Amino acid sequence: MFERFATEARDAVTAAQSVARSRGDSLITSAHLLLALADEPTSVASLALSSLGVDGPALRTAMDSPARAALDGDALAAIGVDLDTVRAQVEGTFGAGALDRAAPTGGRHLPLTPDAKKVIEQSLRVVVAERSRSIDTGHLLVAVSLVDDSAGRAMLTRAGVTAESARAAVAATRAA
Amino acid sequence: MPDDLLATAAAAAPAEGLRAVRSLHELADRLEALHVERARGLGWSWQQVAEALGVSRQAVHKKYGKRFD
Repeated sequence: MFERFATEARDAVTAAQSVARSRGDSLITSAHLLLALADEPTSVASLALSSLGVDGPALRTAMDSPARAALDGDALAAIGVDLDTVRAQVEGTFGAGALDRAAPTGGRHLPLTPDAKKVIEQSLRVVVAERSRSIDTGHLLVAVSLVDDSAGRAMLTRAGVTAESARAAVAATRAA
Repeated sequence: MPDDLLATAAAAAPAEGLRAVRSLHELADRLEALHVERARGLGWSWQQVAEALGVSRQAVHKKYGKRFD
């Protein structure tokens, strides 16, 4: 069972990492996990969300304002560092786009935020509580809906999904 | 960094100050990677790179060995 859980969780984290990268984020949050679940069209999680009238695009509109890039020109300007000047100097030495090319996220794994880790842990508890033999994205969706103060749960709430409705929708999807 | 810049960073609201610090880290990391790559390309040894950065040869090799060997 734990082996299957690990595979499922790993796939979800891998997909969440792609979501984070595509948004230019350098950490994987529970919000990225949730979007990854919603984006996989045949998964239990996305079918359950569909039955609640929620899909990836709808969740994206419920997401907090896009995370600011790791290199934040406004934040640097506030302490007197002009990113445009730095960029111009660096590109003068190392060529056009050098500063972006040097971004460390390239092929490396992005770290999980604490709330994303809590979702993974919570999903294991959900699996154990249900004495479930098959482990699927539905467990992860229910876990997102259960983790207090997580970005993913906030998005579900804004989309009108509660822990109860998520659990019921997942159960109905599995039974179908 | 001049003292007044440090004072600004210290006086700012935590969220602002922390974002600035994160961006400085990010900026320093990227500049470091570019310069290490160039130094290696010019034939610098890991030992020379490490001395210039004020870190151990092991540390610099562990961080960049795979990328710029």
